[in-house]
Amino acid sequence: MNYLSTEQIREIGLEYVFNNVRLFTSMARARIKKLDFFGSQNQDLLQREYDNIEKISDYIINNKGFYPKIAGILGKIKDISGSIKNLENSKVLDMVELHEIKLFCYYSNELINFFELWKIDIDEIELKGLIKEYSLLDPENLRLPTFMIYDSYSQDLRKIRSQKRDIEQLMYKESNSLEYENMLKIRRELVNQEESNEAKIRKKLSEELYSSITNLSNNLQKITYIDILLGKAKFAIENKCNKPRLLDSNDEIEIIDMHNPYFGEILSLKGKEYVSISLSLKVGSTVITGANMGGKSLTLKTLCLNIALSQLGFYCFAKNMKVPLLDFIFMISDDMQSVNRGLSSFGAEIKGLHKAIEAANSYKGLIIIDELARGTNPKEGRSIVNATLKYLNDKPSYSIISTHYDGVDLKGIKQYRVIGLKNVDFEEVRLKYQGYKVYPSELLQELMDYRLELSESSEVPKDALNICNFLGLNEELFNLIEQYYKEEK
Amino acid sequence: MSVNKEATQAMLNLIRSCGSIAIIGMDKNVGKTTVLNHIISKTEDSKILGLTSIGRDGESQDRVTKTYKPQIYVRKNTIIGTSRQCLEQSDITKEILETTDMNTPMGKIIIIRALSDGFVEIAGPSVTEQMKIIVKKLKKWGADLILVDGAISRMTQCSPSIVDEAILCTGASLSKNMIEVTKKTSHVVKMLTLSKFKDVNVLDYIRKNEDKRALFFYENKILNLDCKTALELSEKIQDYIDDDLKAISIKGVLSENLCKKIVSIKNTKKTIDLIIEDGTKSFISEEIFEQLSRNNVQLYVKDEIAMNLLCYNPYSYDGYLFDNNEFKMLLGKEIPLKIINVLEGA
Repeated sequence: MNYLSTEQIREIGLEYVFNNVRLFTSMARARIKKLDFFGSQNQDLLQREYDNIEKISDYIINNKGFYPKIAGILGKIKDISGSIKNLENSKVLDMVELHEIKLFCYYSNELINFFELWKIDIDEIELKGLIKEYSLLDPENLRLPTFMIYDSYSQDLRKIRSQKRDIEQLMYKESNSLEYENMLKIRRELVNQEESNEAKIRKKLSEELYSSITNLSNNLQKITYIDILLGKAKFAIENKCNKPRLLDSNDEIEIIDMHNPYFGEILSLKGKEYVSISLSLKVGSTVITGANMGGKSLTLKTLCLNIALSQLGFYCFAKNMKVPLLDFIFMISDDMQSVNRGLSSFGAEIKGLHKAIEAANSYKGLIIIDELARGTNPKEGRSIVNATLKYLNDKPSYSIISTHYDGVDLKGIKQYRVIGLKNVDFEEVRLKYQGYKVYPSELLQELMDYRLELSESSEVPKDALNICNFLGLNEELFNLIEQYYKEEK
Repeated sequence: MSVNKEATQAMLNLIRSCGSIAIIGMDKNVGKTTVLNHIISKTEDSKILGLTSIGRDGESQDRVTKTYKPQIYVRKNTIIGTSRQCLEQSDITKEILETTDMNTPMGKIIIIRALSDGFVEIAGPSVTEQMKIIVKKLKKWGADLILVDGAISRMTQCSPSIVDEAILCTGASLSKNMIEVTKKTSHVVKMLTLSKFKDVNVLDYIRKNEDKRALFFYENKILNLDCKTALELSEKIQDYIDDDLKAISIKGVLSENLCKKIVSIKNTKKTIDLIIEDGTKSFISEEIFEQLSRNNVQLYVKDEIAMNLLCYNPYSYDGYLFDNNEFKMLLGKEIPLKIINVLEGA
């Protein structure tokens, strides 16, 4: 169970990932958006999922023909779940359904041969042979990708059709309209007989297929899995994603050089690059402090994306990632949807916080809160931040809260600080841009160091003042702000 | 009669030489199905026919209330693109060749082969892009000549990008007034047979800039206008019209609004050529068309529709009948196509 809203799935770039995983069946396209976390009890399964991606990736990388061939087979497979449901309800299938099942059997068998040929040994993709079912629908062993109610199903049918053909031949040549009308009547009778015969055969075929429901559903499910697994592997290769390492439940989450392809794409349109971030999280509370524009929100979203991907059985956008199994992720951010629902942004935040805490009391997960209590006055806001950090610090979940308030109570709490403008030599910048009335706004982003460093100081660096300066705030006002800064010191 | 013979011969030639023909009815009950059946019966046995239709053309009503509605009778081996529900209404012995992912209100489009002669119900896709795909699929499964049963209301799907030739069907059911029918038909023929723009360089430029909504060719420069809606185009077009403008190329529908706008802005004495994709994109009335030419706006197309044959039905199922000779003469005077009576021809 994850608790990310549709909006958040889009914002963090998870939707981007889903949309860019290449899939070949309609079943997989529907399934990928419904994938769920493996959950803290299923370490073996998640590990196997990573291992399966690794195996398939190796095949794709080392054998040129592998990917196009399997993609070619998958692309021909249609969703037969409707027909399976009809079989379960003992309904008689129509010709289109029988045709689709026939093709499904054919391509199932092709996949089995393919896996045997390549000696692929993955339990999760083991398909059941559908030889018997295929033969049932190809009684004349024609091996064509088409289907009809074959003459060989019934002697009666063969006879009726032959009579029907004869009369049609006569009708074609007949010019006397009275005679023609008579023939038309005879033909109509034959058509009725043909139809009722065909219906009988369809009924019989449907009954015979009834015993294959389990195998058909099994294969449908496995083929969906294969398609997604192949998609995950191909995506990992193309995006240079890495296999996460699974941790025991209480170890520190560690992520080295994580990035986000969604933000990367948006930034690259502006000619910029996403800066990789590294961090680790202990069980309990971690806080990220730093001035505005320090990239805290992007960092938290990127963290959210990568942890979510790991829990959904994807490789991650990080050089190195160690993570335990989680039951949920909660992200509380400036969520416009809740605000639209009539709550103030603070109200939405508190409601979200309440839900997150409820989850944290029963399960193990990750709670991400971006700028907690950003809308309140700093005094109250600081108290809310401190209390929340302290409360969550004692819970078995991983919590990370970003804030731009100073004076955070850091007792027992790990703090990251955005490096920001700390190492910038402003004198040098001033010299370089002498003559500029206002600094170019991109300069700020260039100078900003978005990376995180561990810190034990509860004071926030005064980057806000520098930012005001950079953005060319009215000089008089700027001087006044500077004066206040000095007075407070 | 020799004239009729000539027309019949023209139809036979079409059947022999074309890869695909759209049969477009000006209205319901103008004898489109009769023409279709006629072509089917005149096609050599060695040729495999492909058959589909544009949507369903509201014919189900006729099916329920009346018995005269002629059904399409196909020969063995015909390849058919129709909707799933129509399969049940067709009494041929069928082989399912392919199921597509195209959905219609009557179910997915299925490609089948007729393994016997018989009556079929046809309801193909109503989206142009899908029609292109279906025509390709029919070819892939072996059809030598493809017939698309079309309707005037969805004419864009008979554009040259889909079929080689179009046959128009008209008839008494359009109006009780013979002159009215002739006028209406004549206008549609005029639009569908607009001539191709002659300047190859301009056409080349249009083809290379197919994504642009409108292109403006001046004495010394070319400008393009990109906009989403027809309304936006009508609003913005005035900034582009001046005395140096030689030609305008419009992608998509040519609306009356846009024509009126052009006429109101332009210098009446200067000639402007207006190029549209093909005749099916013109949605303007006779009055507006005349207004254009009075104001020296000449209408051309990028791709010509091949249309040589007009089929007519002098009988209306509302119970009246035009005088065959008079009707034919009237049509012949106004319309420069070979003209054939569907009932005589069949």
